[in-house]
Amino acid sequence: MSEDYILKVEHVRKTFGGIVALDDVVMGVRRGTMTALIGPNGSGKTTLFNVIAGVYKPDRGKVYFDGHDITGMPPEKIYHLGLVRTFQIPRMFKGMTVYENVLTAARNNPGESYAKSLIRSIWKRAELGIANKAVDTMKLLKILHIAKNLSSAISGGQMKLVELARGLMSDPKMLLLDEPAAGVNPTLAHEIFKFLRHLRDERGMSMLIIEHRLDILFDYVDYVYVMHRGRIVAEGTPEEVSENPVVVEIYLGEA
Amino acid sequence: MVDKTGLILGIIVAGIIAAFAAVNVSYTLDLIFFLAFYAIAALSLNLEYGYAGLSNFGKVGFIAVGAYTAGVLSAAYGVPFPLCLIAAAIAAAAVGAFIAIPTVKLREDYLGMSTIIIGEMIRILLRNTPTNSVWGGVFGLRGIKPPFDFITNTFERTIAYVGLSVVLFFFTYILLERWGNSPLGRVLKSIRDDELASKSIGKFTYRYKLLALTLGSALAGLAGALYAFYFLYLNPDTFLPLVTFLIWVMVIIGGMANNAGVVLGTAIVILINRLTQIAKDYIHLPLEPNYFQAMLVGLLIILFLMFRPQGLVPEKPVRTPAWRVLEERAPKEIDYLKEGEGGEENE
Amino acid sequence: MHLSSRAKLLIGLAIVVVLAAYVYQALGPSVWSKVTPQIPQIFIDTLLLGNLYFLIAVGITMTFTVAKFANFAHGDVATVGAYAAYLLYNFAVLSGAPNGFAVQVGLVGVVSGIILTLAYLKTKNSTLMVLGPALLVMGAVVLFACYTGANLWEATIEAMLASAVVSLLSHVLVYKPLSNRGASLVQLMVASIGVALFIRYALYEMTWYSRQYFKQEITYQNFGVQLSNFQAWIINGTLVIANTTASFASEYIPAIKIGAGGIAFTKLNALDVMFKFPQPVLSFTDLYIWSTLTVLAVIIGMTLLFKKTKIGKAWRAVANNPVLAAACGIDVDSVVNLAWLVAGALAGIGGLFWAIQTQIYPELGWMILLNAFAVAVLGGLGSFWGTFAASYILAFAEQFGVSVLAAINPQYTGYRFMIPFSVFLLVLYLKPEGLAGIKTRKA
Repeated sequence: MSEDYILKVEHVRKTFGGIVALDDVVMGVRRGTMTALIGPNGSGKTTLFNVIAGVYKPDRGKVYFDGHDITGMPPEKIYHLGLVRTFQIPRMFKGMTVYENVLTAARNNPGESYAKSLIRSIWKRAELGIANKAVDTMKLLKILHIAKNLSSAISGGQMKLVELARGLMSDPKMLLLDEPAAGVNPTLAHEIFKFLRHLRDERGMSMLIIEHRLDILFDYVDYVYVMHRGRIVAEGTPEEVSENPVVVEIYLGEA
Repeated sequence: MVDKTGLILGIIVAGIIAAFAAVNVSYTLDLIFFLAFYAIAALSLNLEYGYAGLSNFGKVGFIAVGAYTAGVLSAAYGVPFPLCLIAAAIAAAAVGAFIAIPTVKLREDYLGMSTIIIGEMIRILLRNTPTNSVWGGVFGLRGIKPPFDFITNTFERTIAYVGLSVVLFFFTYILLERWGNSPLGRVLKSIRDDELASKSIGKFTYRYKLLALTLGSALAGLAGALYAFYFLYLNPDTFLPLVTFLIWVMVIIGGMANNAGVVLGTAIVILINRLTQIAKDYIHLPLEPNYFQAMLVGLLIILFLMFRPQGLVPEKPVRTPAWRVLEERAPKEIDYLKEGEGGEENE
Repeated sequence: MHLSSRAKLLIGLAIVVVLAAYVYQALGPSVWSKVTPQIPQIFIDTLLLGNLYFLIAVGITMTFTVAKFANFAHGDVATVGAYAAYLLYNFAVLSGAPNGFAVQVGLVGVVSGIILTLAYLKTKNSTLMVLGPALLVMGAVVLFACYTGANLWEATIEAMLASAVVSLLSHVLVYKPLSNRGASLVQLMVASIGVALFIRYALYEMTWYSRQYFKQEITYQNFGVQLSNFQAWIINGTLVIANTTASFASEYIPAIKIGAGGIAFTKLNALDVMFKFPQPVLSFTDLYIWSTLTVLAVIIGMTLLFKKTKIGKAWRAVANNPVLAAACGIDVDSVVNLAWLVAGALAGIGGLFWAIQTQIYPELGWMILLNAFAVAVLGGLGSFWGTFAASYILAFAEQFGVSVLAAINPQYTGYRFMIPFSVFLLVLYLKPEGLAGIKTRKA
């Protein structure tokens, strides 16, 4: 694998009390591509996300992001390298409004230190810049009209978008998206994927996406990895994968 | 932006205090001191629990550390009063950090169990100090040098001291308001609401929680020092866990992450306490009022958590200049709603 | 500065060992020569203290596994049991002022028990199913005791039922509605503190009431059970155990000799034992035996329950995943109720034993609770065997530490409470997941 891979996962293994969740997973995401990770429920996709994002430490193997070894690095540090993730079930800051949720996700806000927060003039300028950016991002994702709503009082689909907005606030190099279009109607799902494609083309962002709705997903992504029982069993372009007999068997067996 | 509910209730509380003042001035001074003392402690808990979501059940221990640091420094070494206050805050902060380092990594219940044990540990340690030393063991610590001793009239001196306590209360309040209404306030609330999500957007949650507990303990230590110099005598058995729970009730009744609400909660709890003491002399119930009051505290905790968990004055959004940007831009920018399709989707 | 948790543990243990060696050196032979002969006694005292810790802490662990929060009211639940037993044991007699009251209490218990049982037959409510019969039995025991004179068995039944009922009620009335409303862990913990304060100060109110209206002091009283003292010697390679309490009553006291030649029951001359025998190696009371038998019964009972019955399986399923358990047709409510009941009943016995060993007072449970928390955390919060091991580890640390402190200066024994707490702090720094090593990282 050469340098054009922004994310590389090498021989990662993770077990939970004897149950093997990930078994010798090797994969990578090319810079500036939308890569998909698919597989039946319980195949280990979310576990792999959690290993990449630093929630779990792998038993064996390495994870590299943008030239850094991020194996077992805590999530907050991984974020600062430019890798941001969203969750399968959106995790809102329930006590805060949507706007505050998005504002909080900004990077390097000087007003977030205990000492500097006391003097408003130090952080006011940065805060105004962040506020404008937050409004821009929310406008882009069409959630500006719910900005003042408490984030616990919005629909599940809107939560997905708020999470995406939070992710975009830091101008990440790469996004890890866990089912970005789950619980969303097909029209909006297409809109979300169009928006992601826009991010890829305009901002050069790389993406790794878990998604169950292959019909929609395959219209947008560049490359697909298929997981089954903790292993990568197939990979290739959407066309290659959809013709792969192994993949067909897995999905038929699942049904 | 003036908070109306808080303001109205505040006026009522001020009215009751004024009524007290009309009846008995020195009693009112005592009342004001207790208000200031408990308000500082409750605000410090608000920083830890209301904002950062840390369940500190050992608050009284940190108050005791502050009180005894100030007391020992003053009684044994004659350290001047202002230095004692600072030393008390630093000592309590140090103990807070020592405890926070292993515990804030853990789940809330571990933190809760650890802090309550540590609070009791501090009290038992103080109880067992040698009675012939300056610490005084169960006999208590005596010989604290009165502050403001250049004022000869004791009444005026009390007024000056209570005035200082009120000033320190305002200092604490402004500090908390500044912290709460800044980007820091948002980060702390994000940790409280979902720590993993907060980490995922790059917040160093461990450091924030560590500092919240340390700074909260420093404020508790300051309150303790104020207590020491007000009574000029300390006894380990005044620092019972019940004090911690009183402070918790203040925060829960008032409303977490709302400083005005917490101050209001403090006033309500203190006034209930004082009024039951007064009522004892006039009404004869087949109950011991002190015990009954503690039962009431327990009942209030349960009832508030069940029926009004947000407290009397609910939490408000973090106020920063960012809201002005939203107010100005949002009306102009929401054009996508007019397209007819809308941003709504079914679940 | 990233140390693996194992490296941290090893470094920490090394520091502890070095410190211990230093303390051993610094204290010198004058202290150790006093401590060494006491070691058998330390072990048997550890057994008692560990038993008492276990009976309280196991309930905390149980409710933690099904309700997922640390119950701060558990100690006060134990106090309720202790008081119920104490009042029954001392005041359930027909004549006299407070005792006529006992009859009334018994009648109220029986009547309300019958009403609630009938209500259950109509509503089939799983709480009433327990509550009605429990109150009925409690009332009946009180009445029975009033006519025959109370004994310890009745007191034990009363303690178990009273604590179990209070424990169940606290769950049904407070914790369950709260968690149905989506309360957070911290809120549940705070609510349990509210329950604890309410119970404790209700008991204070009761002692005040008793003092005021019955002129009867029921705080800081000895429980009133006459415990037998046993002492043991090793004479010519034979272990001799004698009931020395009997020496006040008769010339000869019963004894057991255990040696190479087998076990033999004999009688010893009381005066010989008093004046001619050397210092005993061990001395213990009935309570050591009762508490050990109780703990054994609990372990056997729990093992059978978990391994052999459907209830045990259901319990484990609920502890693992309540939603899944409910989907599999398990009656989650009943299983959770059962956990609170059993936890309460064990707390009742624990509270009773603590009261017999020390004194009865409203703060009793609270004083034990903090130690029990230390045990529960050391045991890994939620692990049955972890709690079991932790009970005896902390008890040993405490007993051994007290002996050392007493050998240095008898005044220092006031620091005894510091010992379990210090062990607790040490565990927090070295291995916060406790003995069972459960995952604490949120995901």
